[in-house]
Amino acid sequence: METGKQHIDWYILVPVVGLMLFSIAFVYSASASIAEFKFGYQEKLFWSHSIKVFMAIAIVIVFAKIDYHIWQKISMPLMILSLFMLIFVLFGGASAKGASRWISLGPVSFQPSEFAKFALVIHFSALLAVKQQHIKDFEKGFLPFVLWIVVICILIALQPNFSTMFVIFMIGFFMMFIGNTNILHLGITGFSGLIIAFLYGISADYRLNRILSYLGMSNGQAEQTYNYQLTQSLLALGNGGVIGVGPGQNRQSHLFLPESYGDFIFSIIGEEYGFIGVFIILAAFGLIFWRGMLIAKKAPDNFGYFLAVGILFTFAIYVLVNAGVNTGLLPTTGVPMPLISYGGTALFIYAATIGILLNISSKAGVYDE
Amino acid sequence: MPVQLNIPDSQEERVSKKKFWKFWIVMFLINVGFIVIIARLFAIQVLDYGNYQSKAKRQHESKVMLSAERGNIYDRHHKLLATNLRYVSIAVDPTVLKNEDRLCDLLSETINLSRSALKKKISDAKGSFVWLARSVNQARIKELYGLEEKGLILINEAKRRFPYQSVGAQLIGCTDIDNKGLTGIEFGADSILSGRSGYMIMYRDGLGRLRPSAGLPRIKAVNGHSVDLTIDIDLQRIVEFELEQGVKSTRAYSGTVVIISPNSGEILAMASFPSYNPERIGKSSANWMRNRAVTDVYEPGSTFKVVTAAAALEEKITTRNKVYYGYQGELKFKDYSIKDVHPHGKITFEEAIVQSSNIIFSTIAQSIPDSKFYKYIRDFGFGIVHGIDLPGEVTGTIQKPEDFHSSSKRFMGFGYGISATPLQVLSAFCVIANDGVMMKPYVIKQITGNDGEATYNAVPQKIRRVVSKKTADELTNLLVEVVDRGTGRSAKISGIKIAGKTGTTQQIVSGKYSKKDYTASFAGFFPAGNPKYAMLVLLDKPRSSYYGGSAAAPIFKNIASKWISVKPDAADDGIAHNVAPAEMIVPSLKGLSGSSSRDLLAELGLDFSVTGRNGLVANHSPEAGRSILPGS
Repeated sequence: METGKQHIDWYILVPVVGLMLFSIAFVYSASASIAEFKFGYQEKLFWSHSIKVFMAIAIVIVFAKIDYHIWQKISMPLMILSLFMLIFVLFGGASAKGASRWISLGPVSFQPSEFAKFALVIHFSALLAVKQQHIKDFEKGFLPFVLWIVVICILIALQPNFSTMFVIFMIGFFMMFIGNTNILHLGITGFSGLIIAFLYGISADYRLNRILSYLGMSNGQAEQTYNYQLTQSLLALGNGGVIGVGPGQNRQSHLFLPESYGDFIFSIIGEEYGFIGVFIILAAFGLIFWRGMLIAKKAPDNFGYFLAVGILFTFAIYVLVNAGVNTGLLPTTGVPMPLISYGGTALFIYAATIGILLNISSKAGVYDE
Repeated sequence: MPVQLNIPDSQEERVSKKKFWKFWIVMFLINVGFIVIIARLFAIQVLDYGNYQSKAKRQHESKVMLSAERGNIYDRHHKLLATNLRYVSIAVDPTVLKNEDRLCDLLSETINLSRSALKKKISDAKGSFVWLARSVNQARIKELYGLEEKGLILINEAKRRFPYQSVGAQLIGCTDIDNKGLTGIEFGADSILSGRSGYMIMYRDGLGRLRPSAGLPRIKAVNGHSVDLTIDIDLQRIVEFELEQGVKSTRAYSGTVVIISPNSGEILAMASFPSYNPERIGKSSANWMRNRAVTDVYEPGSTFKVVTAAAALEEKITTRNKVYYGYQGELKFKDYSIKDVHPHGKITFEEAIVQSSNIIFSTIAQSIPDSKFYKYIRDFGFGIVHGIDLPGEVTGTIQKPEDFHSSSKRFMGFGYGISATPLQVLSAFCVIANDGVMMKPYVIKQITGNDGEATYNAVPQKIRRVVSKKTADELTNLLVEVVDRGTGRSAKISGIKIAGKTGTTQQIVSGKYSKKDYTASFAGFFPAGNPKYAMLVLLDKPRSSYYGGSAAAPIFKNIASKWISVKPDAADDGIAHNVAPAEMIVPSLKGLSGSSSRDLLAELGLDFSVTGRNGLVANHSPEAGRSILPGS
């Protein structure tokens, strides 16, 4: 069905590549100080991120060329693969800060939960597309979805990685909502999910403390420990003001703000480029989202529609949760900013999903021909 | 917009248009999320910007003081008395160190650490900072300054050095560990010497490490000014040497000597023994750090007869040849009596002063009207501070005429019932030596700014005429007699006229005059015809002999004769003296620059040879404190 020259959706490609290229500058300023402290030279993380960005751009192009219907066919194998990896990481994974989240492959480390998220979006799209006739049925239209969510969430919870689990639950839940699942079934799922999330949340001291600290209910010591990141994050944003302190001039990445090139890079951008800078970043994501939703609406089939919505929802929820944590609207948790934060697996997965979106776009009737 | 169905599929039922309400709900919620985030960012970054910015500034910036170099202190001939020695502490940042082997080689040659010990220190270091050596003399690591090694950190520290060690220590004073003046000139002239420290703002990181930045404010330090004193360090050394000998041989508790140039009021020497080493103040007792010549008072005793005599002569109450009755050594009153050491019958005023008769001076004082007597005491500088440029000066106490009782003047006439500092007593003698005019005593001769330009030059200041030249001359002649044939004979030096007066005072111990504890003193000036030096010698609780004439006067004599031998024109008349050249003490040169040492040695008239390269003196032989003859 691919004939002639493929359409390129510049409204998506330009902001995506722009964000990725600018992230090189952001990561450099945000990581130089830590890189020098840890590795002895400032450019260490900069170089590794630069290489990954160019690889990610290549991935966008490659995935944009692949007919998205192929994902519908291999969604089940992808899901099985991600299950295997999630089980493997529990036993053979590299651990950091008490959690086993990575599979270490020599110099490259791989985060199975990122892949699982991607697989879940594809598989749910495929399932929703074929099950539209029986979607209101509990056994056929509800149970298969819930089982997948429960299995994956349990495996991720065991790592443990509360935030990723929560986001995956949200993504699955909203895809079911979009996919016309019985509202009553969905309501029960959502309610029980919240209860489980609550029990899980208070089951570990560090999570409980973070939540209490967010609610302003913790005592001094915990307050200091868990509010430190937030305090430093707000200081970075506030110090930026309207126009920022200028590129490369941030002070907060000088060993004040932990994860300054990862989960808290948004604050460093806010410090260097001010309100205008972070507004432009959010506007770029907004543009991708709006354009993406237009593509979804005009997608040639239900699979394309569900896949596009799932991808965009994933983007949106990550952007909002990350920005919410950085600005103190949500409790502090480790969620990276899509396309911008330093990090391999997530960046490649986002690049792949953007590629898929571009492919859907090329097949959707958004072009006047 | 119609939904296109490109792929008809029997299995698939296209999501109908009316189902898009769910799509719009998701759209709506996401957009609300974006708006909330943007509103929050606006609140933080725009509305609350000032608050966060000032918090961030406090976190990111650190004020680092830039210390000013403290000014030097010199003596009247610009010999260096106090200066700064630069010490360096050596540290490395192992994370950026490149030529570790070369650095260790160099360091092991210059500091007392082996190559392997240094390497171990560096390899054991955690983080980016490790001390290798603290407070190393700068002269020893000169090579390191040329080294362009990124990881080498040299931290400069200044320490106060006193080339003459304890000589003049109470007058010059000392500094604390932060180089702030603690005592003496170092304290009194601290604001002149210390300069104004500057500061620079540096960036701080999360570990508290500081880094300079060109864009941050920096205020340069202004170095302190140098001070030239009126004292002559060579005279001071002779004074301290002789004073020490005197205190030890009389087994006195302590002793004080002050020498003033009576024509100008310049303090030429001022010393107390025991003293202390200003470079090791931790081991010194604060008791010996005081400049007792201005901070401590005593009853002047017979030296005060000069004041009584001057008042009586000026008021024409007495003349040189007026005859008085000595009551055969004891003048009895109802509840007290006044005694002389040697009983006298009828003697002249001249003899009374030569023999130092308490009874006759008591009688003379009694005949001076209260207010007149008080006026002379005040005019001679008692009961008030001279306002000398030294810290801690006290007034002493004198009675006011309205507080006089029947015996007040009788005792004050020979120096009891009043207290005075050694400086006050000597100033009274200076009035006689300077034709009856009191000059303001001072120690700071000149202040020199950083550019080498003098910012202050002291000019001798006339305070007042106390007595006429005639009275002063007459009294000088009488005081010459005292040394020639009277109680002060032990101060006599052949070929030079010395005017002087002894003093022996019983000290008050728990409210009573002690029979054991005395203050022995001798004050005088020379050459009597043209006085250039007025000197007071005071011994506190001498044990071998407590008389001023036998305990204090020999010290006066030794100092004067040694000084004349070093500086023959001090005797004015130019009579040859058979005094052996005085030994001198080798000054400490450690840490001085080569050229300063050269100047210092040349001024002392010592030959020297230099070994080693340019830089600061690391060691010298003979070492400081050893005695050598001039010219060696």
